[in-house]
Amino acid sequence: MKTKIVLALAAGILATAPAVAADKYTVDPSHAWVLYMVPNRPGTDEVGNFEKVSGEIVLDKADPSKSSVKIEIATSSLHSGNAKRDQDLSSPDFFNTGEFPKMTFVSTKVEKTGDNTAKVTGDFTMLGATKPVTLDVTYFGEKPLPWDPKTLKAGFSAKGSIKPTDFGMKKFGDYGFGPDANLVLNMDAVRPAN
Amino acid sequence: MSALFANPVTLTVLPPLLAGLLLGLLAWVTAGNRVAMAIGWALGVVFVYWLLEGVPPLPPAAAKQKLGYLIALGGLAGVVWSLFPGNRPFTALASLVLAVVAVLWLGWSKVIGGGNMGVVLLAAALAILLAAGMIGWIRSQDRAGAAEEPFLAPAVQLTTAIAGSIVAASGLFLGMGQMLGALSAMLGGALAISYAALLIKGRGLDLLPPGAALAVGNAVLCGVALTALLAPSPSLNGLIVLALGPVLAFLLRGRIAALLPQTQFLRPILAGAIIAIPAIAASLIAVLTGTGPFA
Repeated sequence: MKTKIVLALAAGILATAPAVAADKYTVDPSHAWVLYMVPNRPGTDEVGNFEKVSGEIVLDKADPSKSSVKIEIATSSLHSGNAKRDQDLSSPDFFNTGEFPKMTFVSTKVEKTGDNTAKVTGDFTMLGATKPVTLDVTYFGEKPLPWDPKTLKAGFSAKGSIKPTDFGMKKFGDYGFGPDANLVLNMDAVRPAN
Repeated sequence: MSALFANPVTLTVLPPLLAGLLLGLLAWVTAGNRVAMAIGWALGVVFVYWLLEGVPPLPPAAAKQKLGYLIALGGLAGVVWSLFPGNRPFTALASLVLAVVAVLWLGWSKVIGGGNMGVVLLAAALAILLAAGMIGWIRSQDRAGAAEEPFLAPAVQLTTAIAGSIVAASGLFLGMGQMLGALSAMLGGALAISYAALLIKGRGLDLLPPGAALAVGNAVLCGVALTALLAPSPSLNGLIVLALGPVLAFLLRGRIAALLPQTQFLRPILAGAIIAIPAIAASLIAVLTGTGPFA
């Protein structure tokens, strides 16, 4: 009987071992910035950001290919530095916040490219359309919060680009933007210290 | 040439204006044949949508993509109506039902998403008002009447589309401002040919027989409803006055003739100006209270 219990416990520990190896972080919404830069030639790039970001990052330091990312961005939290332009960008011609209140990125593949870098490919959903997007991600390490040693904070930065017209944002091209929109996601994420 | 059409204003006005001139010529050549005109206008409204929004995906995800299918459906309904011109009460009822169904489909994300149902109901009420007004005009066209008669129903559609364009742009829905502006450019082109016919032949053209009027009216109505549903800051007062426009103009109908001069070529212009009064009021309200490019 004892042997059976020991075997069962050992099997249980082995089964949960990969989950233990990966760290699960929650994006800190107060330290997350999603910036976009959009060429508007012959003018300069237009820049703005989305303020409301949430998500979850699972980081397997031993085997980064087993890591995953899930990010959600509230489209209505867009700020371009001009209230009238914000309203224009919220219209059905652009982000269509009335019908599509969020954009999401869900990773499907993580490839390590350096000591602290990786290419993260995933499904980016915007305006009801989902397309694959690859982000170049840098991991800045982690350390305990100065005021709360039981919580670890990690920093991540991701860069990539999308073609908004591929997602049905036709006016993006018609009004002279693009063709690409460059994205930068800078975010801290936290997890309890083990 | 491509640089010319890269300008959104040129793209909005020039090709639809040319299409409208062609539709005017079609009315001239076919003597306003109701089937030919319904097919012509159905193709015209689909062309305007394609020009400004491209081919919508199937199934459509966004209301603006659904609009493409609704415009095509309205065009098809117009062609069917032109083939079976009888049973007018049924077609009028079908037009009203089509308007409500269109609004519900366009506003479906708000209906199921627990959004502001008041906006959906307002859009439905506007659509019913517009449909009722336009049906009134379609059914009351007097082909044997005075010089201004052939111009009245198209003028109502034109002024509604222009005002809708201004209300949409004032509400920062520029794409819908373009769409309704393009529809008004197309109607303007056709009316220009009709006016040339008046000067040359002494009689305007039968531009919008019932089926054709349904195709255009449905496109205008859906554009206005979509503005009410999804424009970032729509002028509700402007939209209400706009939707009342065709009905008010219809009520003025009997009095218009008495106000017009005897000079034949001036009558359509002055009649159009009177018909445009509600639309002008709607535009002014939207511009003065809106936050859009005219503010």
